[in-house]
Amino acid sequence: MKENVLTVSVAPFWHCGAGIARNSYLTMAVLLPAAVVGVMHYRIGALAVLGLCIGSCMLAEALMQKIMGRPITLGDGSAALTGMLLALLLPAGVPWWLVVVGSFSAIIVGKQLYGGIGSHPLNATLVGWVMIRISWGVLMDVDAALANLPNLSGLSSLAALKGGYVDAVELKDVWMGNVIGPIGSASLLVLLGGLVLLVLRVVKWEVSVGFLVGVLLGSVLFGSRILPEGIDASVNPILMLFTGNVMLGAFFLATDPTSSPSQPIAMWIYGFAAGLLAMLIRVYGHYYDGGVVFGILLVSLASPLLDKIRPKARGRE
Amino acid sequence: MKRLTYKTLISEIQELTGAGRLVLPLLQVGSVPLEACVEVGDAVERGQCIGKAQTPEVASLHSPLAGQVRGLFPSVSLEGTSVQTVEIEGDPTGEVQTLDPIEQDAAELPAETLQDRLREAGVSPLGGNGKNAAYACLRPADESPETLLVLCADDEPLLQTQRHILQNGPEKVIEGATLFQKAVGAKRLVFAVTPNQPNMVSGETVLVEKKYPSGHPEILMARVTGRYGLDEGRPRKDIHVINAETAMAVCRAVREGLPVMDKAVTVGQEGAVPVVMRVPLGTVFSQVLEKTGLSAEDADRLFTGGPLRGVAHFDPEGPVTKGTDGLFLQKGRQVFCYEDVACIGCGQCVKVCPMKIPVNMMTRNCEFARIEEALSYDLGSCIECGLCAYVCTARRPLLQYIQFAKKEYEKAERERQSA
Repeated sequence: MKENVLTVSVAPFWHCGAGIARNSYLTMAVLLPAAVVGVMHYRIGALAVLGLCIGSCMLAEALMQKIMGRPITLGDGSAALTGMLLALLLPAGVPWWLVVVGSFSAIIVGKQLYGGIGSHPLNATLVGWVMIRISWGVLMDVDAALANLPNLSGLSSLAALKGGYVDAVELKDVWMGNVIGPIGSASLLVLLGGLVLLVLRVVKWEVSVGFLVGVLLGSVLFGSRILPEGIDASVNPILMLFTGNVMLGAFFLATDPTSSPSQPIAMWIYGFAAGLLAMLIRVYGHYYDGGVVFGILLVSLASPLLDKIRPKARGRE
Repeated sequence: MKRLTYKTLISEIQELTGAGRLVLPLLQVGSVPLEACVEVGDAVERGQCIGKAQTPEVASLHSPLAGQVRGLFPSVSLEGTSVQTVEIEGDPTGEVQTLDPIEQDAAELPAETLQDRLREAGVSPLGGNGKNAAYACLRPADESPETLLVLCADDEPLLQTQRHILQNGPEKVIEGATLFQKAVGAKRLVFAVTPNQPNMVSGETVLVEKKYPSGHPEILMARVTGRYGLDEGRPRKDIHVINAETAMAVCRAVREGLPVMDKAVTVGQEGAVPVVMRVPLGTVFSQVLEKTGLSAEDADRLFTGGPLRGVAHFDPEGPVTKGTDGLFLQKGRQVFCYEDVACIGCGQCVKVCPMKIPVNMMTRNCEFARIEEALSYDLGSCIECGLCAYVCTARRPLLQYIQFAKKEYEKAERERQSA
């Protein structure tokens, strides 16, 4: 009689079906509407940035893994997702080399040097963005970058607010990305995508909700101070929620699994602190366009510490 | 995410007879092997003792058929150790050699008489792949527990064995539980039942909810006693756990003098409706599967126990033992594979852990046998329910890491004590 060759493994023999690749592609899928709106606005300029970002992130990942003699894991989609998120944070008209430098910084400095997926203390996307924002601030300025593209006028919503043009910024325009801004400016679409992830339990919802609460509280407390002195007007806190990457931050950046904490209370604190910090930087900081980015990065540094706040395990005296 | 729940009962219990060849490893439950008391070529009666216990905590093993001993050879146990195995061929339908039934009332019976009878009749804790420490073995009379907990619910999804046993003979389960309570000297008797069977037992009950792991013995023990007793070493002193099937076996051993010769097993294939069968001990898996119209092919996965804490088998000709609660087949395309990747910190395991363990940090340390660190992240609290590995986004074999670390810890402790 022929002996059968059976599969042997450790228990459990069931799995809920989640996976790194599934999460990456799902996240990219829900970001697609926002990306499409960005491309409709800025045409080939946005498409070029998106393609270049995703491509160079994947290239950087493959190169680094090759150099380090590790298995190449482009298939899990995490590098591509990093590229897509970075592109959505960038304005459409930035020079191609800046995109490449940003992507390589994100993957190499932000991720692979620490040991790749699961090991990086900071969100790789944000590391890439901050690297080029600080180094080539002029080129990264949304208004300046978009000045190269034809048929556009005006100021990005945050720059307009900072300049005191409160009336120039309308909520319905900000929602659909009908303003000057980075590629991923259609914040309502980003919000909807984020809610899908929340419902599917792909992201840590405590972080997202905490972040939005932090932003809301921050904008109520000192939102109006974003206006220059002497201008007596008020800024709608809802407007602050939908401008300048807050939605991307809440659902896609702050929730980066590796750089955020995992304990329930820690996640709330982390999200809330990042949101509050984002508003502080936006209102008082020099990098007002990077409030969300810097807020999340700074709080990420504390996330191992925050994770110490945990309940006592059952059965432990 | 698919919630893990216990499904309601579906089928009637079926009898599987007619297996003319049985394979009986002399390690059915626990870790202490039995001593063979037959030799190759010997004729055996149905119900004759073929493996004698060497320690008082273990029960002996009996032949489920009348025939001849064909072989006595070493085979591989679930733990991977070598264990002596008896092969018997003969007639499975003959008359059973019983012990003398004991008629006296439980209250009048001395505990020693009962204990001797249970050992003699091979009543071991049944189920749990024979390794579940929560189902403690017999214990000396001076170590009487406060409470005896009888699990009439199944501890894992897919399994229906215990609920069937209760359904098919509640009086015998209750009678057996009372006798066992007397044997171990417990003051309090509690039955763990599912919401659709509370009226089947009388006395104190605890309800097992639908969601896994509420039927896990450790969880139920904590619900009954009000505390988890994990840090004190096992088995627990204050509570003793048996399942409905063991109680039934107690009843049959005492009142009818019947030794344990068969085991109720839930048999099924993933995605199909399982059935519960009464199978003679030592029947090989392939025969059990055949009876339900299943067969194991290349690349399939065959496991005993439940889908979360069971054991996969490499040999479709392996035998049913006193530890076999369930026997399930996954076809090759249904088999899920673990991956060797780093933890990405998604936090799903932390959310799902019933013991509130920081599983992400604990398993990172477990993986590399960093025992001190793993213990500081509450390795000692883990009840090995398997939910963390079930939800792991990175598909890491978390339960294996945990079991590995526990083994390493035990090894280090042994070395420390012998040094």
